[in-house]
Amino acid sequence: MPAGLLLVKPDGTLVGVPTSLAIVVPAYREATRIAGVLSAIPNRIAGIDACRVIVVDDGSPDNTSAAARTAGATVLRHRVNLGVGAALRTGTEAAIRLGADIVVHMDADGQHPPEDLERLVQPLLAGADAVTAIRSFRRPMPWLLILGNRLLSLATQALFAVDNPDTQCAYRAFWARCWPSLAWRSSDYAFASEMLVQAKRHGIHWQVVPIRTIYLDRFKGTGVEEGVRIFRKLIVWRLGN
Amino acid sequence: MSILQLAVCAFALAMAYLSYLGFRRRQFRLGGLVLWEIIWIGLVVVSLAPQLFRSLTQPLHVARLMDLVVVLGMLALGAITYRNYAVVQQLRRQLEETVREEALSGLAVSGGQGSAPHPEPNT
Repeated sequence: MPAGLLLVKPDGTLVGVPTSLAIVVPAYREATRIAGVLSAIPNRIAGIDACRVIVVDDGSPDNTSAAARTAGATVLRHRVNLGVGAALRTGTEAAIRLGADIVVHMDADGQHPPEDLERLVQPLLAGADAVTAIRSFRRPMPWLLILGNRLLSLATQALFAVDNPDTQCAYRAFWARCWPSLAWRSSDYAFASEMLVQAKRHGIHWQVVPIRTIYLDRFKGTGVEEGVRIFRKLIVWRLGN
Repeated sequence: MSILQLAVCAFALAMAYLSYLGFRRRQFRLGGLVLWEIIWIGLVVVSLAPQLFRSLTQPLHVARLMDLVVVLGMLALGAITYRNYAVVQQLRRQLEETVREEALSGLAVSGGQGSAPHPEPNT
């Protein structure tokens, strides 16, 4: 979509064609992989005038910051490890301070295919508030994670009527103006669920985009302990409403 | 004096000394030292002279003094656990805010370390 046009939003208001996109990448101990992930991000995205990558090094003891900086990213560093939710909050706030119109969340370990970025962004340009990727629950995803992801997605649907088959996939894009309605407090993996719950409460609609399932590290991501914690938080959020 | 009484006395005296060391190392203030010393010395007194407290058991409908000590100990543990939980949560939240603000302040000063947009802007 060429820049300079106006879009008519569903509510009838005119908005400018998006000009700036920020990709927020939380990273912890990813010195060996992050350069490859950043270099795979497409140079041009249709309808986007400018693109910036913000890497939030979440207290890595290795050279994650240096590797990301060398790859050309804007690097913010947490002095201590806070968790992926906190890193994404920092990155999202930075993106908005830098004037991004659209914010994208992408993992640093290559589980979120950079080549799908355009497919993630295009629904926003077509009028969606927010877009989330969904994975197919089959190999190479470990069977325990398949079970956990299904259970958490079912629990989120049952408790909040959130119709999302993969609530734990954090490959997401949304308009910066939606941030106040999406802001989460969880510093851990529960942020992915909290974001959906917040969106539901504020009437933000998510469009879903299927992506390839990639698993490169069996020991990263939402494990059993995190899954139980997320489930507990879902109950607390439900009761607290 | 039984072995159990001796063990409780030794434990309480060791904890009283550790509490004093904590105070000298400025880990807590005088009020904290007084509180903990009262607890440990009280434990020594209960251990050495249980007969002083037997009169408490009947009005509280407790069969043995030991049961009363155990119940009070569990209540104290519950209170301490709650207090620790509240403090840890508060500290976690404060630490998170501090670390995040520090990271974002780097953005304000320098536009981020290595602030060149990537990939190259579309034109």
